[in-house]
Order: sequence, then C-alpha cells, then structure tokens
Amino acid sequence: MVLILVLVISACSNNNGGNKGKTEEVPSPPASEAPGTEKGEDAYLPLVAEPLKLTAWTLINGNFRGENNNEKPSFKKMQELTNIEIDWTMASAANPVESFNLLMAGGQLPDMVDYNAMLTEGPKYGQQGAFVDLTKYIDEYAPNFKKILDENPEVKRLITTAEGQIFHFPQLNLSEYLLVQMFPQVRQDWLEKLKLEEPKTTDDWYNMLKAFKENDPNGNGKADEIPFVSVNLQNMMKTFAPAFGTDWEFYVDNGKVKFGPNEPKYKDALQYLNKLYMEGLIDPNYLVDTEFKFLTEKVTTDRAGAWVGWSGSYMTSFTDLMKDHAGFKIAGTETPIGPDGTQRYGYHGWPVGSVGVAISAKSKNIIEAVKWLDFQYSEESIMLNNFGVEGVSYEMVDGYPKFMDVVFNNPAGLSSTESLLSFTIGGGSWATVTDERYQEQYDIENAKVAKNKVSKHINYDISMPPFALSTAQNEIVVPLLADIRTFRDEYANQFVMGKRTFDKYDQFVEQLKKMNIDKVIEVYQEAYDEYMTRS
Amino acid sequence: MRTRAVNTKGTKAPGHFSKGYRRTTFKEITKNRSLYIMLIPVILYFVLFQYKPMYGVIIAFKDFNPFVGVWDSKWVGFKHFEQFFQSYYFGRILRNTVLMSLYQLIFAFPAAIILALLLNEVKNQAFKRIVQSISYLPHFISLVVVSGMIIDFLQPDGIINRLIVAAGLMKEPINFLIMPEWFRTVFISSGIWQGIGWSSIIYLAALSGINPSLYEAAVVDGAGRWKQMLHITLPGLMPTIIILLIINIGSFMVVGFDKIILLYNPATYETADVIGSFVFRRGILEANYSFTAAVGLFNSMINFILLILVNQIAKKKAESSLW
Amino acid sequence: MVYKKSLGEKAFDVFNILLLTIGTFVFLYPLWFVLISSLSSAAAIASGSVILWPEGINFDAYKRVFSDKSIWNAYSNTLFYVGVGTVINLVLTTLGAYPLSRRDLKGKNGIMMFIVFTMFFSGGLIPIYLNVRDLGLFDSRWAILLPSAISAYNLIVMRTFFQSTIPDGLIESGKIEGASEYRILWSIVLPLSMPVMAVMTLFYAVAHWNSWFDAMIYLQNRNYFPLQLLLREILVQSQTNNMLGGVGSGDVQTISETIKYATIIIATLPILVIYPFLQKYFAKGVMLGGVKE
Repeated sequence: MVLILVLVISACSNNNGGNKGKTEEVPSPPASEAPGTEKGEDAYLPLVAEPLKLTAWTLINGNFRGENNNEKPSFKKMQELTNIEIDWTMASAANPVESFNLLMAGGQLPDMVDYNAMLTEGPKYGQQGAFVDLTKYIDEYAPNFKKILDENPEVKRLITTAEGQIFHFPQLNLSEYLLVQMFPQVRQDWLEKLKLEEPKTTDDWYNMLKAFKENDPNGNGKADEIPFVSVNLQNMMKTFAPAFGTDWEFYVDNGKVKFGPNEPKYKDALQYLNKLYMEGLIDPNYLVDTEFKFLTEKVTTDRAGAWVGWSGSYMTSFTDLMKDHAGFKIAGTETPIGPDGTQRYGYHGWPVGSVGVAISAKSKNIIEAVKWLDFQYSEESIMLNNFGVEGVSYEMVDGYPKFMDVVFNNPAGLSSTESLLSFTIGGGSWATVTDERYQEQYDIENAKVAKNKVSKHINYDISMPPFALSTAQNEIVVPLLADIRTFRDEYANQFVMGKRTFDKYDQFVEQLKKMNIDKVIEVYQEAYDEYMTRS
Repeated sequence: MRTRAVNTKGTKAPGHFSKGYRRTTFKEITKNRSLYIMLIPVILYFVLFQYKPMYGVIIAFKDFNPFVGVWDSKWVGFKHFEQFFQSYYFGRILRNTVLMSLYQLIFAFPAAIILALLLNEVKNQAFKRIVQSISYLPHFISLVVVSGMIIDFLQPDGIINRLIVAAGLMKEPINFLIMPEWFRTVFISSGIWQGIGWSSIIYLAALSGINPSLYEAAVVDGAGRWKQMLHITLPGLMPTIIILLIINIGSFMVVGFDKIILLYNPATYETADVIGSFVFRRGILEANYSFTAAVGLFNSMINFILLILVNQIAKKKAESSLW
Repeated sequence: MVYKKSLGEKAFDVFNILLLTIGTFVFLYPLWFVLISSLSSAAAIASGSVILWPEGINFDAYKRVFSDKSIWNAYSNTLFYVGVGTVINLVLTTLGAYPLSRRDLKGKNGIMMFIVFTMFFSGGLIPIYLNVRDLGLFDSRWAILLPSAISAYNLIVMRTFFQSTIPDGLIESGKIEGASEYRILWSIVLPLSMPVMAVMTLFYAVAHWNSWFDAMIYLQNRNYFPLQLLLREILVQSQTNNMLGGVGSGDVQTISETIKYATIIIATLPILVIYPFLQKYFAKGVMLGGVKE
C-alpha cells in the first residue's frame, strides 16, 4: 500500500543549458555543416559485413499510431544501408518514469536504451556501471559524432561527467532557431487598432497593457480585457526579470553564480510586477488558472491581450481556433528592455536536449552499437530521422526538404505529427541532430519572425547551463532547495499580489540566508567552475 | 505467524498440565481442521506477494540505486529521516496533514453513514435505487476532471460565487482558491461530493443485513421510526462503522496528495501543503526512491501505532475490533 | 405492516426526499458535464461555454479513440480480467474471511494481524516488481490476476459482515447435523451474505476494470493490454502535445480536452450498467433460509 511514487518531470521542453562557444555567428543550415563524411554514399557503409541484430528499448511515442519502429520507412532504409536490424522493445508510455526505472531495476538491459531524460539519467546509471563509457570508442568508431564534439565544445561539456566520461548519445539542437520555442505573444490586431507599436521596453509594456485595459480593444463595450495572462508566476518572471538584470533562478554574473531572489535587483522586478498587478494589468487569477485550457479560454473569448507561450501549441493553435474571428493576429515579441537598457531572453533551450540513447555495459555488440548510433549523426541519417525517406514523405524543392501532402494533409485524417511519425522517428525525440527545417514547416510565418528576433538576445554567459550535479552535491543542495523554492514561490506571489508590502522585503532576504542559500550557491559555484574546465 | 491444521489421530495421555493444555489446543485445531485448510491459500498469497518483497523496506535506510539493487546499495542509516525532519517546513506539513485527516474523519466519515441512513428511510424503492445509483457516479470521474470542475466553479465569476452574490449572502465574490483559510473546506467538501455515494455502499449492504423481524417486533411494541433507528439500525450498523473507522484511522497520515496538488498553489501552501505534496515537489528536483521510502515508512509507522491504539480502545469499549 | 406515521415522521420524509433529490442533481452533474463535453467541439470547450448542454456536437474524440485498432481487443481483455479476476478474488477472500469470523478459531487474532500488517508496510514498487518477475509471471495474464488476488481491506469488511450477521446458532445447528465446514459455508453462510458478496463483487470488479498500472509494468505483449491502459496512452499522448514545442507543434492540440472526456465515458459506461444488477441484493432484510425482494 505504501507505493513509492517517484516523479521526475523530464523536461521535454528544451530547458537545458550550455555555453555555446564564444562565436555568435548565425548558424547555416546543417546540410552544409553536416558532420557526415562525403556527400552521398558514406564510404563506411554498411557498418557490418554480416547482417546483425541489435536490441533496443524505447518508449512508444504516443503520436505514433503503429506498433513497432521498424514499420517506419526511415528505419527500413537504415537497415538496408547499415546491415543492422533493430529488435525494438516498445514500452508503454503511460508512465515513462516508472517504466524506465523498472527497466533499470530489472538488471537485464538490451543493447541500447532510449529515454527522454537520458541527459540526467545516463550519467547517473552510467556511473553505477549500467552503461558503457563511450569515450573509449568515439575516436575510433564514431567519426560523425566525434566531428560534432570537436566543433561544438559546449556539447561535449554538457554530456561529459566530472570524471571525463560520456555515457550517452544525445539529441542535438545545433541551430539557434530550435532553441527559441517560447516567447511573449501579443494581439497584433489590438495593437493596430489602438495604434500602438510593438512594446520594447518595460515602460512600453506597461503602457500597452494599460491601453488594453482601458481602451476596449475587443470592442464589446465592456472592460473585460485581461491584458496579460500567464499560466504561472514563473513564466512572468522569466519574461520580465532579465530586463531588471535578475532571474527567477540561478544565473551567472561574470563567472560568479548567483541566485536571482537573493540579489537586490530581484526586488525591482517584483515591484514592477506588483505595480502591474495592482492596476489590474495582470490576470488576477494567474495562480489558479495554471492549466493551458484556461489560457485557451481567455484567448478564444477575445479577452487576453498578451501572454507567454510556445510557438506551436499556442500561436498556431490559437490562430487556428480563432480563424473565424476577423482580424485575429498574434505577433511574437522580443523580451522587454529594462530601465537601464538590459535585455536578455531567459528561457531558451540548449544545444543538447534531454533525449538520448545509451549502450548497455554488458552488451556483446558494443562496437556495432556505437557505429549504428554514430550513423544517426551522419548527413544521410539526419535527413532520414528528420524528414523520412525522400520521395515518400518529403521532396527536395530547390534544395529545401519540403514535406509532402501525405504529412500535412494526410488522407486518412491523421494529424501532421501522427503522419510524420509513421514515416520516421522525429528529429526532436531521437539521438540525432535536429534539423530546423522540419520545425520551420510547422511554424506559422509570425512564429518564424518572432524566433529570429528573440534568438538575438540569448546570452550564454549569463544563463546557467543545465549540467548535472554530482550525487554528493545533490545531497547537500536538494533538501535545501526544496525549502528555498517553496519559500520563494510563496513570498513572490505575496509581494506581487500586494499581500505583503515591500517594507518587509528585508525579512525575505534574511530568511533566505537562514535557509542556507549561501551554501547552495557555493556548491553550484563549485560545480559550475568545474564544468567550465571540462573539455 | 501461521497456524497450520494438524493431523492427530489419537490423543495424548492425560496427566501433566501442560501436556493437557497442548492436547486441548491440538484438539481445537483438529476440530476446526477444515477452517485452517481454507486459510492456507490465503496465507500463501500474503506470504508470496506481500511479505516476500518486504525486504524493500530497507530502501529507506539506504542510498538506493535501482540498477545496483537493494542489497548492494549503500547503507546510510537514518540520514533520510533526518533530512526530512530538518526541513524548514516540517512542522507545517505535519500539522496540515494531521488537520486535514482529522477534518476528514469528523466530516467526511459520518457523511457516508448519514447518506446510507437517509436512503434507508426512503420507502419508494424505485426512488431509492435511482438516487443510490447516481450518488456514486462522481467516484468514477477521474480526479483531474473533478479538480478542473472545482476550479471552474470556484472562480470569482464561477457558479458558486454567482449564486452567493445573487442570494445576497455576500457582496463581493470570493476567490476561494487563493485563500488559505478556505482550502480545507474546499478540499473536504469536494471530497464528500465525489466520495460519499461510493462510501455509503458498504453501509447500505450492512443495513440490509439487519434482521427485519427486529423491526417488526419494534413496530408491535409501538416504537416510532426514530426509536427504531436508535435501537435497531444504529446498533446493527455499529460493527461495520467501528471497523471502517479503525481502518480509516489506519490511513491517517495518507492525505490524498494528488488532489491537493491539483488544487493548491503557492498562495495556499500555508494550509494546503501536506507531507505528500511537499515530497512530490522535492521529487521534481531529484528523484530519490530512498527519501520517498523513508517518508513513507514514517507515515506507516504512525498509522500503525494509531491503528493499534484505536483497535485496543474499540476492543474494550465496543467489542468490535480488528483483532 | 401498517402503522400511523406521526406528523414529525411525515415531515422528515418530505425533507428527506427533497434533500436526496437535490443531492441527485449535484451528484449527477459531474458525469453529465463529462458526457456533454465529450460530444462538444474543441472550440466550444476551449471557450468555456459548455455548461449544461453540448455545443458543436461532434464525435471526433470518440472516432479518434475507436480508430485505434487494438481497442476492441483491449475491451475483451478487460472483460477477461474482470471476470476471472473477480472470481478468484471472491473465492480467496471468502476462504479467508469465513474462518477468521469464527469465534472459536484459535490463532485468529494472530492471523488477522499478519494480514493487517500488509496494509501498512510494503516493500515498495521495485521489490514487488522484481518479485513478480522472479515468480515467472512477467508478461503473462497471471501477472494481472495474482498479485492483487486478495485485498486485505475487503477481507476485513467481509469478515466483519460474517461476524455480525450470521448467528452462531445457525452454524452450531449445522454442525450438529454433521455438515462439514464447506457445506456450512456454501449452504448456510453464503445465501445469507448476498449483500456483502454483492458489495465485494462490485469493489473487486471495479478495481479490475479501472486498473492499468499493473498492466503497464508487467505486460509487454500489447495483445494482453486492458482497456484502461490503452485509454491512458491515448490521453497522455494528446496532452504531451500541448506542452511540446517540438514535434507536432503545428497541430491543433485542443482535441486533447475532448479526448480526456471521451475516455472517461468509454471507460465508465459499462460499470454503470453493472450496479443495477447488484442492487437487488441490497434489499432490506434477508429472510432466513431464502432471499427476498
């Protein structure tokens, strides 16, 4: 009866971190940067002389309507090319964490394990001996992957442990376009109606929200507009806090690790939000309406003026739902500029995603598995993984891989995702390089514009990379952080909602100290310093 | 502790007291031989499926890693318990857990009994059947959906507020879900709404087990329905009530934390945050089987102690008990 | 029996009926809401306008769920687990509750404690899982039927019922007539225990019907999957769509709300049909030696 519930929210969203080199060039499409070998037929195929079978465990992606990955043309083609067949165990994804933990507990692993939180779990189990340390094999057997690591040092940093081991092949977002999935969104038609410009500074935002509230942009004669809607305080803070030079969580200031709420500028951010709240410019129900459906309701009843959200499920969905509403248009904006000119986009993804594949230490085919997984990063396989088989699910149109009708207008009525997944694994959920050209075809025009704008303001020097702490470090930090975050959440909301006045702010800071925030920062600093030296 | 059926053919020679006692015991066991045989598969089940894996309880005292296994994981003694007790919020979550359970015992537990009694008083069988069938429907709706409904109803512009304002009870709508002082009420009443029908089923079954000739005799004696209720119905129901009360107290520390998580938010942590929800948030930082196991063990111990206490009391006062 | 109701009793009756009627609507509403939502359009639900009646009626959610080819197989699997599982449950629970209800059974308190103890202490998910594997039950239907064969809670309730409703005298007279324990159980005790047997059937059957977690961890062969597991997969998938900015971000994800409701209706409707059958066993008063309506 005492069931042990272990719940880890594996961030399928790209909330990881890493410093992306010092060069901030706009990346060219992967096709020309391909870490593969010669164009066309890779000289090292097939990978094995005799046909070989490898076993692999994976969670069945809910959008895949088939039953086995081998039904997908992309894997069939791969088998032809590599001479390696994969015997898949397709586990139910009804509760992914338990499924994975039980697989590990069972002690009998297949050759390869694919999991959507491998970024943190790979090193953890790897150090216990479950997975192979790939560093011994990369130089000799993984030319594609090696090239990527050489050209992208932050990728290497993120997947290498403090002891210099690498335990999995990760999903990669090498294009900046893929790192910006969320951004502030505004009713563009309201802006036009009220003759406002897209807001740039925090003052602009204040004025725009005020105009939304007072000038009846939805034209129904009632002051029922909700200027800014957010599904939680965290999103609001992530949007506005960087403008004030602070953050909701950890960040780096000239090499020094800091915790936003522990710094004086955090108060400025809170005061700004408090002002917005007291004037009715923020949804008074933001704490309660944390489900996506509430935001949807506010948008589709023509009341929400601005919010923070994903490009796909927010922007595209809302536009679709409101297609009968004349003039409805959403614009994505940059994050605001603060009073002293600071501007930073604070919720970008990182080059390494959390999905990854690891190889069992007891596998009898380690080298072949390494070769097969390395193949996933070859130019040819990147196309297979992202777009499927040419002529079946996509066509090259002027050098651009365009999805065919069968994907976006599926005759059997499948959604585009379901359809795509019947042809391939999906570049965003596999150990391969995700090609932004697939994402581009999903995004509506306004989203692409927004993403290009926002990505300019990523600052890798300030963002905290999502490296994992060691077990010993976690032991110190986790219990303290559990308390600290609870405290932070409670007080932040009290300050914003005016239940606690700012003359009591010092008590908040004092209490943080009592909760040992300094110790936590110390540990993070140590981990960060060590992380930066990894190569 | 197992009692096996014992096959004895003869009896032992009389004489020594202890031998005689043993003989009596053997005789009793033999007499009820079939009953013990009936119990064999039952006990086998518990041994095989419940006791055999119980070694896992040690996980609470180790730094458990599933891949390495229970035995090979490092022993750490009471470390996890200490961590748990030392949390800044330990006192608060303990208090909230206890209070929430207490309120449930005081309000939700009797509610099901009352519903059963009310239904029992209905003469019209058809009406009774319909109401009964409908009353347990909410039990089948998933918690997520029910919580969504609760949130909808309790919004400042939701149904409940509209009713209250229209009825003139209050001038301003109340935003229930961000007010800590309302949380327990919301939690308990919505729990009653969802569970009362289902919980009343056992009592209804027990009521139908009461000998009808008792009622007939009472009527002959001129007792009205109220007296019948007091002297026949309630006493007839008492064993069931007591047993269920004991079992309920036996899960005292387990407050339905998944519902809490669906309904709470930082503004109501003050009264809403219980042990389970706090551990859940911690689990987001770092999945730690051992920590969760330690907290679970702590809860179980308290439950067990309470259970033993209550069972003893029930034994003395009411003659109905688990053992 | 006819007797005159006092005024107070009449008033009580009226009040009672009124209260229960209001209660009925209050209890009915959640399921009603789920039903109309499952039939409404995604847009209507999104804008929160579905309150008393469905809006934009369509069967998209149902189509989506039933288009899954394995759903009928899953239905039949569930029926199997419910049928066979409940029988196993009832037999074992009765075999446990009856002896323990007998006053003259030596050691019954110890055995009770032995059983009750398992309600509090458990090895945890991983040891339990490994245990089932060790017993050789992994990926077989037995993994669904055996690990949950007896619920201690149900056993206790059944025992209590036996203790309080079966008069000792009946059992004594049975023994005097030379009946074996099995015969006593079958011919005397069970016929008088229809209410509790009905309740147990309901509890166990519903538990089987709703279960999905055991199937998820113990079964790999999808041909054995029960209905709820399948529905849950469909639901989880439609919800992750909402969060991900990645694969599938271009689709209209709002159908996930309607799917949520449709899965509840599909899963719940059959259960609602069982209860009326069991209800007749709850009739007040069970005559000695027979069942009365």
